[in-house]
Amino acid sequence: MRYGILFCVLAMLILHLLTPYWWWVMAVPFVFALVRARNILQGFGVGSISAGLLWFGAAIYYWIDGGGIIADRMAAMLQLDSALLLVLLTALAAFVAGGLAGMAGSAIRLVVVRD
Amino acid sequence: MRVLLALLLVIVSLAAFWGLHYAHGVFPPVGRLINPFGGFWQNGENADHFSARLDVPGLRDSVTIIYDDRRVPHIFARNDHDLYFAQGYVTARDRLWQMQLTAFSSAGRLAEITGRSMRAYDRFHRRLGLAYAAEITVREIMADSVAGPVVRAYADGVNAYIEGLDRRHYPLEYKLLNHSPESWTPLNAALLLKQMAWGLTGYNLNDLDITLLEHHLGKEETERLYPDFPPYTRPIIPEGTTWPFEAVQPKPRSSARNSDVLQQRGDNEHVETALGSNNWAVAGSKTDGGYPILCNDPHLGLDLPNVWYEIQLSAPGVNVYGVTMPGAPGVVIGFNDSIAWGVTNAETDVIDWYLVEYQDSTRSVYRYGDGWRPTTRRVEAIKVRGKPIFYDTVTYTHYGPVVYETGHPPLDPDIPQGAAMRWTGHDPSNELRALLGLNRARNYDEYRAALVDFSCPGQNFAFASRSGDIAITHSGAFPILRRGQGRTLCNGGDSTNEWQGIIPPKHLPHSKNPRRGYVSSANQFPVDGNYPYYLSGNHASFTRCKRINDVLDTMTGVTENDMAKLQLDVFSLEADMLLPKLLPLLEGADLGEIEREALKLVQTWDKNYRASAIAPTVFERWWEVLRDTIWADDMLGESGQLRRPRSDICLNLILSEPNSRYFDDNRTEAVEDLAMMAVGAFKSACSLLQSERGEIDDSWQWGLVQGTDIQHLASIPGLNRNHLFTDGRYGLINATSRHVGPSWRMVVSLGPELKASGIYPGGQSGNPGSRYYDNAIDDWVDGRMYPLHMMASPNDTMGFRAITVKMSGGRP
Repeated sequence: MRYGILFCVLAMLILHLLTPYWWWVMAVPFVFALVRARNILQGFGVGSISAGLLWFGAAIYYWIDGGGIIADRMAAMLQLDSALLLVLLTALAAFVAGGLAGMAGSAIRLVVVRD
Repeated sequence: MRVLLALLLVIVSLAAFWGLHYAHGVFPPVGRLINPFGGFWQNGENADHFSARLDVPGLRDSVTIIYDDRRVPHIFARNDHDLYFAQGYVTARDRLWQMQLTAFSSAGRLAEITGRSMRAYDRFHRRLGLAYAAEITVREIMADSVAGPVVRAYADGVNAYIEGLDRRHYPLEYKLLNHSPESWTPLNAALLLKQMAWGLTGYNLNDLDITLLEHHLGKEETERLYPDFPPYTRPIIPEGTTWPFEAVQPKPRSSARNSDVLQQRGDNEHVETALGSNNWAVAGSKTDGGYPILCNDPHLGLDLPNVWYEIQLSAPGVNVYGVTMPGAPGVVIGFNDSIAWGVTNAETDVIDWYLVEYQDSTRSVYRYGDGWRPTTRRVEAIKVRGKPIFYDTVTYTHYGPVVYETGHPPLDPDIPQGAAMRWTGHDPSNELRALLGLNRARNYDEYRAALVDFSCPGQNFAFASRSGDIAITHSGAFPILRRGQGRTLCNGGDSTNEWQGIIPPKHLPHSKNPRRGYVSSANQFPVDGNYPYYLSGNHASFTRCKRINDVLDTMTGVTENDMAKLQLDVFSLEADMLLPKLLPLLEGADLGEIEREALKLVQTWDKNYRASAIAPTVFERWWEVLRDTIWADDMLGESGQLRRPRSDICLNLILSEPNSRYFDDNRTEAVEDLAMMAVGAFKSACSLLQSERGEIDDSWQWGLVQGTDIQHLASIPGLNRNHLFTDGRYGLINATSRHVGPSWRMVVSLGPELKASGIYPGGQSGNPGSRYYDNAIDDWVDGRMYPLHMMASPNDTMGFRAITVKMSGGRP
C-alpha cells in the first residue's frame, strides 16, 4: 500500500505539472485500483491518502510560496476564518474525490478479476 | 452483489466528478478552482514576477520595458508599431479580465458569462445601440492612417499575450466565473470608447422630466426651478469673454405642437450624482517657480481594478506619461516632454429624444414632414449562458434607435418610451486619433488641432505647456440648437426640430492665457450669456467651480504642494452659505438633549467634511430632510412624484426667497414657513440619526456614515475594499463619496525639470493575489501622492528599484 501511495503521488504530481486538469486526483487512483487494488479498502486508502496528501502538500507549498494574499482573499470569499482552513478544504476535496475513485476502480476490479 | 456495489461506487464517483467539475448556479467549478496546480493557488504573487527576456512573435524590433517600484511600465520602443504592441501586451498582462469585461459590458454580452441575471442589462445596451455605434467608430478608426495601425498593433499585442497564456495562469476571475479569454479585436477598443461615451453623456438625462414638469408647473416656473444656467455658477470661460466670430444661426421652428407624454413616468427617484471632475492650470505668473502647474482629478466610479492603468510610452517622436484606459492605446490624461493636459466631463447635452409616430404596428414607416419615412431594423442576438439565444429587434429611425417602444417600461427611468434617440455617440468619430494627437502635441496649436477629432463624450480639456501657455477648451461635438431646443421631448415628425449642425471646432468655448492667471473647470456651465450658441445640459452646481476659483483667485506663489492640498479640499460652500441663514431659525426652538448637542457641533463646525468630524453627519442629514420636507408636497404631477429641483436651486430659494410659497406645506390648512420647516427637519434628522446610531459618539463620524467602498468589478466578496474612512462628499473639490470619487489625482509642474505626482485608488495589477492589486488605496485615503517618474531613457531609473524586461520578436 505504501508503494501504491508513493506511485500514485508521483504519477499525479507529474501529470498535474504537465497539464492543467484537476481530475488526475480521480483518474490516477481509479486506474491504479483497477489494475492493482486487492480490495475496496485498499482502493480507498491509496486513492484518498495519495490525493489528499499531494493536494495538501501542494497547497501548503503554493501558500508559502507567494500565495498568502490570494489564500486570504479566497478564505474571505468563502467566509472561512483562516487560510489554513482553505488548505485543509483543498486536501479534503482531493481526499474524498481520490478515495471515491479508488473505491470505484477496485470494485470494478473485483467484478472482473474473480479469484 | 459485487456488480451492484461496483455500479454504486462508479455512480457515486461520477457524481463527485460532476459536482467538482461543473459550475452550479453561482458556484464556480470547485475542482478546477481549488486544484493547487491550476486553480486559484496559481494566482499568487509569483504571477508578479517577470522574466528578464521575453520572446514575443509579432514585434518588429526589440523593446525595453522598465517596471518601477509601483509596477508602472515604462516602455521604450524603436517604432510606433512596437510601442503600441507592447502597450497592449503589458496592459493585458495586468488587466486582461477587466478589459474583456468592459468590452462585454458595452457590447451587451455579459449574459454570456453570467446567464440570465444580466440579460436585461445587455438588452438595454443593445437597444441603446452601443455596439452599433462601436461598429461605426471602428470603421472610422481602421480607415484612418494614424489611429488604424495603432489600434491594430495594440490588439496584436494583447493577443500575443493571450496566446502565450497558460490556462493555469488565467486571471482569477476567469476561474471564478468559468470562462476563458477571447481574442482581442479593434472593435473592442471602439466598444470601450462607447461605454465611456454613454457613461459620461447618458447618466444625467432630464428631457423627459423637464417635459413632465412643464405640464405641471408651466414653462416659466420650470425654467426658474430647472434652469440651464445654475445659480452662483462661475462659468469655465471667464465672464465677459467676447467671441469674435459669426455664429451659425439656427432656423426657427415651424409648428408648436406639444407632445402628449403625460402617461409616462419620469425619474422621480433621481439622485444627484457624484460623477464629475476637476481640472485647472495655473500660469507661471501665479506660481512659485514661475512655471505653469496643471492639475486634474476625474471623479468616476471607484472599482477594483481601477478604471485607469498608468504607463509611460516612449518611441522616436513621442514620450508621454499618464493614465490609459485598459483596452485602448495611448494615454488619456497625462503629460509629455512639452505639454500636460487633463479632462473633466463637458456635461453639455448631446442626447435628444424624438417622439416617433409609426403608421401602423409593423413599425415599418414613421411620420416625417409631409410624408412617411422607412425605418430600419437591427436584430440583436443576445447569448445567455445555459439558455437559448434571446433575439431582440430594435427599430432605427434616421435620428437613431427607438430605445424603448411605447408600453415597454425602460430599465433607465430617464429614457422616454416611443422616442428615437439622437446622440452624437452614434455619429462617425475618431476620439482615439485625438488622444494620439494630444500624446504628441508640443504646443497650444497642436493641442487645439488634436481636439478637433474628439466628439463624444465632450470634455473640458485643460492644457499647460512648458513654453508657458495655459488654456482650456470645452471640446466635443455639440449640436447647434435654437434657444431652449431639446430641453423637452420633441415631435420627431417635425423636421424643424432637427439638430442644425454641429458647432464648428473653432467656435467652441475656449480660453487661452486669461488675465486672471488660471483656467479651471468642474463640470459647470461653460460660458456666460455672451456666447452666441445655445448650450444646455444638467451641468454641475456651483459648489466645486466657485470654491476652486475663489481659492485660486486669492493665491499667489503657488507650489505643487498647494495644488495637491487644493485637490483634497473638503470645505462646503453649501454649509457656509446655508448655516448663517438656518442656524438663527433654530434659536428659541424647543430642543431635546441630543438635538442641543448636535446643534452645538454644527455651530462650531469649520464646514469641512472630514472623516473624523460629526458635524457634517448632522448637517448633511438636516439639509437632506429639509429638502425632502420642502419638495414633498410641491412636485406631485399627474403621473406621480416628479423630479425635484436640485439642491443648488433649493439653496438659492432659501437665501433669496425666504418667503417662497414652496416653504408652505400645501397639504395642510396651516401656513408653514421656512423656520418651521428648518426646526422640524433638524429634529427629525437628529432622531433619525439617533435611531440608526444611538447617542452622539464616534459612530456618528462622517467617515463611518458615508465612507467609501471600492468594490471588485464583479462585486466578488473577499476582493473588495470596503468601509474606507474617507474625507469628502460629492459637490466638494474632494468629491469622494461611497462609490464615486477621485479615480486619479495628478499634479504636473512644467518647469525646465518636469515634476509630476499622482495616485489612483487601486494598483497596477488586476490580480487579487498580487500586492499591487490595492497597494495605493491606503495612501489615497490619506491624501498622499506618488512622484511620477518620467524617464528620459531606459537607464534613467532615478533611484527607484526597477525591473528591466527586454522583449523581442524572437526572430532576426
